[in-house]
Amino acid sequence: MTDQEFTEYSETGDKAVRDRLIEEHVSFARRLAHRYARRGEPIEDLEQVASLALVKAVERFDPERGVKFTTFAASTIIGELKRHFRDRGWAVQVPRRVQETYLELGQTVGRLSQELGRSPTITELAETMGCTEEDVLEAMEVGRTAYQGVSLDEPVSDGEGETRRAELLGAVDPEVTMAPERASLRALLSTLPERERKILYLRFFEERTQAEIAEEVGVSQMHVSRLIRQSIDQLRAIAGGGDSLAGADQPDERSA
Amino acid sequence: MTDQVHLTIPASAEYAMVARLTAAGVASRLGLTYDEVEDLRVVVAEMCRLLLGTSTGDAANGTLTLTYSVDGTELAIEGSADGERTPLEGDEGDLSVSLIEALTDSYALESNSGRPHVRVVKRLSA
Repeated sequence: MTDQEFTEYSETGDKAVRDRLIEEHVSFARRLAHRYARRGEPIEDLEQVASLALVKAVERFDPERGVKFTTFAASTIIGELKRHFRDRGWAVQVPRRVQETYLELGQTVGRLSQELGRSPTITELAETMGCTEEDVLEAMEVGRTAYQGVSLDEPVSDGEGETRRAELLGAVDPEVTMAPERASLRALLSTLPERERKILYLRFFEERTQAEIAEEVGVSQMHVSRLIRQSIDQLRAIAGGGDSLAGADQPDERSA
Repeated sequence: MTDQVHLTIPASAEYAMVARLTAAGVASRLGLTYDEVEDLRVVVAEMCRLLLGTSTGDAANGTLTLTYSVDGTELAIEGSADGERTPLEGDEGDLSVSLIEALTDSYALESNSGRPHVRVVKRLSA
């Protein structure tokens, strides 16, 4: 009986009893680790963290305190899992992570809308971005606060301490001022072949270097450079010689 | 004064997400920390798991009802399933209960004429 074993262990410190207690609960620890598994950490690592925490819990458990061992162990294991996530930079990165997901969300919505010819579902967004639907909804909430008009003087946490919201804001968002350009560009882009569209996307939206694009698309960097130039010329011609794209990129500028 | 949010969802695991998001929304309104909000999401997920348990008879198409109650000192979440259900048992049930107990200040599971009812309380630090 487990309770007796705990009493026995706390009285005698017998290692054999301790090991037996650990063995009895190791599957509990593993299953608990699996509950915390959806965070991009290898499950083996989490199982390891949970098992070590279990050892700690068995050694520290005081059967006199009137708490069930499993409750005590769950608390210890959750604490260690959280510490693990924090050490791996999770907790501190969370505000940034949501922020990033939000930024990625905007791009993914645009891209999928174009591909699907309709607004993408949350499920589709989550699948494309490799995150959970809740992550997407959370990121949408981040966006929502932007147009709910929160006070700029409202104190907010920046991860270190408190600051005013205004301190966290940048300059005028170039994304916004470029929106009309982007809208007409989108229509123009649809006239290009798939491969050229992809190259332009990688170059100007993901800001990859020509060398990276060459590798991804499977052509030489020279060819990428030429395709970008040709595509821009073609777009410019269709746009009626308008020069809104002029100077947007010197194709070779970042190729080094 | 007590503020309450009532939520009724279909008794299926897919809808647990709605219950978790609601918990997160209520908790963040209370100014809880990221960890605490995460904890509550886990708690609500486990509550749903427990309540879904195994249904007997036609409860398979039933609903779960959750009530999130806030007063100045605590957040209480109550959940119940309509229809007759057996709360999750065995190792998985034990794990759910352990998680809930570890992450809340009080936990109670009872059965009102065959309908499981769970209540948890998270005390708010002043």
